Amino acid sequence: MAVLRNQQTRQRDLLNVPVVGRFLRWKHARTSMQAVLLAVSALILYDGFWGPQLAPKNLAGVLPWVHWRGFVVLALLIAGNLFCMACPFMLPRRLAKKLFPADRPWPTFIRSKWLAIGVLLVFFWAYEAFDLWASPWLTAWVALTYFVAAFAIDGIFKGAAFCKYVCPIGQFHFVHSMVSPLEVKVRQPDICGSCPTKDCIKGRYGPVAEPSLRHSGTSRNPDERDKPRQAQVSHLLRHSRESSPRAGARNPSSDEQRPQAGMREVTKSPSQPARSVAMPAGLQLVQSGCELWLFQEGKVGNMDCTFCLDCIQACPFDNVGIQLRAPTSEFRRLDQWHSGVGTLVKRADVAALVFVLVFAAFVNAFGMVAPVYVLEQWLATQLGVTSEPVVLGILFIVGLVALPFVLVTAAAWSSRALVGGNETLAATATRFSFAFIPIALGMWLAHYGFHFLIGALTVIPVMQSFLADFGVPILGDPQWELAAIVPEAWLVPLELLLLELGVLVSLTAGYRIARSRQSSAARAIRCLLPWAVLIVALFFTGAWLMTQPMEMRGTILG
Amino acid sequence: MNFARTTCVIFIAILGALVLSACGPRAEQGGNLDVTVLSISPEPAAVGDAVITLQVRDIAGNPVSDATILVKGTMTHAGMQPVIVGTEARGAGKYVTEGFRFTMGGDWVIIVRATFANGATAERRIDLKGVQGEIKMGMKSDKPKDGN
Ligand code: SF4
Ligand code: SF4
Ligand SMILES: [Cu+2]
Repeated sequence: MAVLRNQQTRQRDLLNVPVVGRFLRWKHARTSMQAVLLAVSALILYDGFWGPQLAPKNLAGVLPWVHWRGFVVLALLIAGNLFCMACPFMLPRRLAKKLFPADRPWPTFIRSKWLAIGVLLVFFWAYEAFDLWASPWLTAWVALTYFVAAFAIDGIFKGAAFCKYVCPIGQFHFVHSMVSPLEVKVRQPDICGSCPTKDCIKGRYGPVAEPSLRHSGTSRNPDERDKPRQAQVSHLLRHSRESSPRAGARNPSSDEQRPQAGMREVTKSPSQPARSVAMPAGLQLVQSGCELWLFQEGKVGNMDCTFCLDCIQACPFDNVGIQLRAPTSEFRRLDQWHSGVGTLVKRADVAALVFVLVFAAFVNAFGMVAPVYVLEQWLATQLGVTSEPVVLGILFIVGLVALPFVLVTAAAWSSRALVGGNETLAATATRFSFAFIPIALGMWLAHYGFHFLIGALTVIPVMQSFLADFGVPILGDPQWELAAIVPEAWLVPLELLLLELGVLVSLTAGYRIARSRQSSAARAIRCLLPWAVLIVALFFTGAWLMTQPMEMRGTILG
Repeated sequence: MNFARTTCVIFIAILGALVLSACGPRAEQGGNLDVTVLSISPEPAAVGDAVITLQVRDIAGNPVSDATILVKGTMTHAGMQPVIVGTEARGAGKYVTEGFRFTMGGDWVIIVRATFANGATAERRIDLKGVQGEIKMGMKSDKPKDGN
């Protein structure tokens, strides 16, 4: 049985997929992806600052707002947090880690998502208030601020403080990747149970200047190289079989496809992966452990995981994979303690983050249809305000804070009234917040997918004109008429399909969450009812938004 | 460490250069062309077919009547297919677009490109904000009154 289970786990592991797996195991896989995106960012910065200040003609207008947003939401749907994996802001950050001590602990009072929620709210507001999409120059400034912030914060603080506590893009990805089909996860828990190194969290230390023994590609004799590791894995498995009745009955080394070599004899250092720990003389960190403080043995789900693959590189037993899973499987584990995250149902800050993102999916799309202009005009007249940022500020506070708060409190209260129980309203709301992630992802996909599908090809003429400015004309005059990659008639049906998928998965997830606490299906349905009403209401709101003709306008108040 | 220090210096130098030179967006090049939109019909501009009448002059203020004028309508948001049409000369520097259409509500940018008889070209950009869209289903069909 265990053999079967293990085999299945291995088969559904992205690292075992022929070309992709090989690439992802490569030590420099992540750096190479980051380098590509860094080069693209450099183009965006250059064109944003110095190029034509007309968004459709500027790489800073096209690449971030049409392509990047489309790609990342699609990646979340079909794979996982691929943006963080290839994040270009990580390269300067790594440099900062090399240059500065980076040894301060992140202040305790902001070790939560609250700061990031604040940054997100400001970003969503600024996006509309200053029409970031219409200004390549401001877009370039936002990107530059990002680079500087990641550089400065991670130059001062330990680990990946920026990713975990500040970065709004990161939070967007952490939350929505909770319903992604891939998860970085241990393959055989038994091996972790008796693992002596815990390198996945602690990092791997090695002699200074000694080339890494790992990463097969370069060695000529894999069999020789694998011997120490195989011996160690066999030993561990034997040990765990003796101590645990449900331990794996198979020695994985026998069917290893791409074994990793090089067990290191490293003096064990304290459990923190930080660079500041005193390390034995002559040893240095050769591979970081998880800088987001997710210890594989207790890691559950995708929250806070940047898919950086450090744990995969660090684990001496090749015991971490990128595994396929059911998109709602995380919702069964909400009460479980998550390493580096805690127990999700106790994280009100995470729930607040989820709800802000859920409502932002709708408010962001609402910002692009005609009714919002009517509403803004009305609000401005009522309040006698002429400043658009102020009116938008009010709309955002209402749409992303007040309205969610009222609706969620009402749903939590009704849910409790329907089934009783002594859970606090906040705990109930936190528990059910996660059920809203699929509908939010559906909405982001519908909206950003729309921009991508109608505008994907616009990058061709923009690139042509960018190169022509440098005296390198390619394929003649820019082909400005290139734009959509699907016929316009497909758009609304496709968007509705994505939303429908979202609402179905949300309702399923909601039922799972309800059922886990209720003794019968009937009670679970009653408990879910108010939440289901809210989810379905969001669905109809989204569907209505999608059928509105989209508008693209910056100035609203006359 | 040496490598790191060098990279850092480069990084900071690039940052510095960016910050210094990015104090304001680059000015648009106007070209030696003076274009005025005389009228857009229907008025105010709204989604659908439209006729734009332009008055084209050179920098000396003389009407330009023998140029080939192309009108490109695009939006302030990237990722829209632009509308590119030709024009018909009506004499005395007046040109009328042929088959122009506002495909979406919102902020438009009209780019007028002139090719003169001697082969020289010039371009002019005119911002046209708040082209009116439609509101469907349930909302009042009143159009927002902000045709700015
Ligand atoms: S993932 Fe690898 S390094 Fe981490 S505890 Fe398990 S076996 Fe040890
Ligand atoms: S090291 Fe941490 S953040 Fe990176 S992939 Fe592994 S668990 Fe995720
Ligand atoms: Cu949009």
